[in-house]
Amino acid sequence: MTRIYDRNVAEPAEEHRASPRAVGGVGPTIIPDRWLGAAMLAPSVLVFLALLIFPLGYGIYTSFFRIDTLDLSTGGTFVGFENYLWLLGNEQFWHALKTSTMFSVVVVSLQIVLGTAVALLLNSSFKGRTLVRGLILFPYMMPVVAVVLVWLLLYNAIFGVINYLIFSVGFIPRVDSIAWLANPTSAFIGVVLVAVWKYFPFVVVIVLARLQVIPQDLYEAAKIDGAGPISRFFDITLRELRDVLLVVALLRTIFIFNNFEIVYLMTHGGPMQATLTLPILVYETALDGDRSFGRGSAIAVVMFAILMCVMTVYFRFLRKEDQK
Amino acid sequence: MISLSMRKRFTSVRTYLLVALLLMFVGFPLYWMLMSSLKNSSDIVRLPPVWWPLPTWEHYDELFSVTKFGRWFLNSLIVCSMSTVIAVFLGVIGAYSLVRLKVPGKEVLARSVLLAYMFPGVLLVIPLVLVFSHLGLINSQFGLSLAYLTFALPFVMWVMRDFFGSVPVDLEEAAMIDGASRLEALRDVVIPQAYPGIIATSIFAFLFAWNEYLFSAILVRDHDLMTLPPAMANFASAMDTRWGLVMAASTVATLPMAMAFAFLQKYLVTGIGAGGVKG
Amino acid sequence: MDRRQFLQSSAAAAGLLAWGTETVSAQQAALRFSTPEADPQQIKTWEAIFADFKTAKGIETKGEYGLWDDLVKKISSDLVAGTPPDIIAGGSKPGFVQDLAKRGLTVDLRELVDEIGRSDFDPAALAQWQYKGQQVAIPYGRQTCVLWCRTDLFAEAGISKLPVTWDDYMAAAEKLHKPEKGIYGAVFPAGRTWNTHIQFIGHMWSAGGFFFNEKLEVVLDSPETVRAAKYYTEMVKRFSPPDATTYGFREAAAAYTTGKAATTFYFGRVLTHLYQQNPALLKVSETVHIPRDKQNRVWDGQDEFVVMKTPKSSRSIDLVRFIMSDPNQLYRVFGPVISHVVPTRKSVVPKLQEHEWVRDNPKIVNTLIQPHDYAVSDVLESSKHPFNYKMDAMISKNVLPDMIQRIVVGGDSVEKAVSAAHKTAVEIAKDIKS
Repeated sequence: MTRIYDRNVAEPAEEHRASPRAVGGVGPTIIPDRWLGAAMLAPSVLVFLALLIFPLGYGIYTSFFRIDTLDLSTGGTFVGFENYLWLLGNEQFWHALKTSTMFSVVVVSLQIVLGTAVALLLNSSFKGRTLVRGLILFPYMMPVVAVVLVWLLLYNAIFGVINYLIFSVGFIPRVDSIAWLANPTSAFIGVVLVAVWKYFPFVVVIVLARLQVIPQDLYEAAKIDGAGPISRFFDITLRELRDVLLVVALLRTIFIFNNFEIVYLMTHGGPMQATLTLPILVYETALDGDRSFGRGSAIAVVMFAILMCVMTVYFRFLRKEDQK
Repeated sequence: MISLSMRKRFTSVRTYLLVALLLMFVGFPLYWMLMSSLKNSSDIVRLPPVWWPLPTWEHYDELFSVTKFGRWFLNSLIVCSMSTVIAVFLGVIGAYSLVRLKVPGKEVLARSVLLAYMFPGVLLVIPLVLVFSHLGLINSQFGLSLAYLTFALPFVMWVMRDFFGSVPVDLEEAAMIDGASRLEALRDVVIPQAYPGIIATSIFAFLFAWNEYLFSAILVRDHDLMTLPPAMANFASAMDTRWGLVMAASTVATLPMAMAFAFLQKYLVTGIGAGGVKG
Repeated sequence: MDRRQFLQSSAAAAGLLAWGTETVSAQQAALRFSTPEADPQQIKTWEAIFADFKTAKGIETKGEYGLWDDLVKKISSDLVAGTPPDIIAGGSKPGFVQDLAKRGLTVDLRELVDEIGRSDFDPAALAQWQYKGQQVAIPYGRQTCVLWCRTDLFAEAGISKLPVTWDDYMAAAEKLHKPEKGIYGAVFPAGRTWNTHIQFIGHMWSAGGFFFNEKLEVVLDSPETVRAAKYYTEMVKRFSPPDATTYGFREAAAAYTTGKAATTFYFGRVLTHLYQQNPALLKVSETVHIPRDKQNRVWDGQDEFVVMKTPKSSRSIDLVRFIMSDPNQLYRVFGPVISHVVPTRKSVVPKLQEHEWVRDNPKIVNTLIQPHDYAVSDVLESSKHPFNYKMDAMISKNVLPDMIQRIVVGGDSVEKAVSAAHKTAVEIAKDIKS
């Protein structure tokens, strides 16, 4: 860290104009870096406090109350850990926790695998590469409402194009033989596919960027040592990508775990609650007819705690990496 | 020799096949969105499907004559630009401070930026309303753009922190020994080095806001102040889906971002690459 | 960056913000009219009514349009902010409005009903919005769910009479059902949505069952429910489209308008859909009441005006009076969804005949617009029941749709699924306070 003191930002402007590169540290007052640093961070801290920490604290606070969502301005009854106890004994909560975990793990894994594969493909040279790199980002740009509706149109069992195509090549006897979103397994797969389709470009961009900074001489050296393409992939590419993939996986997990819109808009959590994730349960508990804000908050706090654990793992990993 | 060139050709054929496959996977739903927006309502759900409709512009027509789509589009542009500008400005100086200056407790802060993503939005929005109503920021575009900082600011700080970390300290020190203040060094030396990162984070920050639904639906009340996602959601209520209208609206809503990405794609890859990689 | 530059850039930033920002301080005086009836054409209609109201009374009104799904969220956050909307229209949630009334947030509209003419209202409609002697909302429109029938397909299948009873319907569906030709005999919605709740509870009532008894205890586990569930799920499995377990409102309507279904349960909105998407079906469509078991029962839904207690309440009442007491304005509200929402004021019903679509399709609209005295609702399962404040939670928790899905998708026995649903409902009801 440099010890040079910064000139005062409040220094008269005229003087500055006269000598824009005047000798440092001769202003009337001097602010040490520490204050400057604090000043530069202050607005962000303020934003965090008002827009994040307060809402978060509010959520944790209300999780100890029995409170109707309509009564948030007037107050409810303090009930201690009652909402958490209710949660632990609630079958639906455990079911949703399981579904959410499965959903996140599957979606993130597929995103990573597909994203990496596509990044590798787009890293090789072929005509129109720039165009293709641009095109694959489209799903990421489309509004969620539109994504869901297009896919509902495609999946539709009685006039959907997917079924029509499968039918035309003769794999199914009738157009309506597969009802994608109507049974638990295929509905789960269907929702996963849409989430992967929408968000995998993010992985592609990041992996592609990392691929470009892998030194080529590593490959050359391996070639000289007689390593085949497969061992080169595992020993060099994958090793170089390991860190970034882990990071992306964790960040994506947080995002997908909290994702409400895609699943809700596609299936409302059905059929047979096969796609009922925690965010949908929060919604049904806190905001729909039930309106138990305290219970909804309790679920959210548990989700938060789970993600905190994930984060802790992440930071521990980072620290280990830094020490290397 | 022959076998080598054949292998090369095989590799390139394989590459093109895979690219074609990829484009079909990514492109088909997009193609279907575009085509559906150009079909009349009964053709959208017709079987066998209409692959190349004789284009009808009725949905686009309705979009601009019956609904206030133009207004909402402009609103979205305004809100997203404001939010991006604020997030990038605050994020850049904040990240710089985290990297280069001594600030007590900055490690805690650096980590807490990720808290934003860890609480379900449906519950975040109500306390946010509480804060905003005290500040008089409900039903205001400025207020909404501030709400988007909850996502955009942590993201910008997160990426820019690593970016600044990768800019050599020597350059700044040289500038400061030459008499530049720290802020001048930041402006003249560090920021130019970090342009790719700034552009990349700006695009992502803009994009978060462009597609955001919940905050906009709750914090903005006025029909004339709405942004695109909640306005578009009204075309597809639980009771009724205006397929054509939604598809037309989505096509128009996706276009500007698509253009931005196409132009800035280069920065995006290098930008995120240098910054996002380390995490 | 020195101070001057900093100030300059700040000023520039502030300018940018000011350019983009439009605060509402200048519009404080305008009435805030919040509604989920927000189809583009409906919005146009609302705005036109507001313009007329402004001309007549000099009061400005601002529409706030959102999704029905977001209604509770919006109102709750408005209350948190201490700024409820002045009027809520078309929320169709009597239980929710009663909860608002309980907190003293709504204006009693009894006097307004008397002023407009109490006898002109359908009393059953008024009753749904009464709470402890108060009229907490004025219903302006009623929605009736009917059975839409393709008469050409009925003729083709050699069925001369549209179904009246469950047995008729099942026999007809069997003949109509030709999935190999892409035609389904019926559309019994079984998605995890409100529509499944509505359709099933109607069948349950028809079989003589109730969700709650008159003391508001859950009585779901009854032979009547089992009987209704058996019939309903059989119709799903045998004669409905294969993806019926994903169907809510829009899918149930789409199956019919696309010509895939010989029959479907839906409200009058299908008429608009047919005009927009498939006018050829208009000539071969008729509606009848939903086939019955032991008794006629129809689920009754209503659109309403709620006036919230705000400093502008008296002007809000002015607006409601303006719309409700002028038949022309009231008629206008229904324009975009003609025959879907039917005026609750008897004297305005004949006005519907002014609409070309209504005149041209008597066999479709008559069932929809004729009053019938056997409508029941979620909040008043019978005339003997007290107002039911527990049903909202049952709807939002999808108790009935989950039960249907258990039988159709999960393969549970009807008895088992019904008693499981009963248990869940008891569990949920335990935590609800009046």
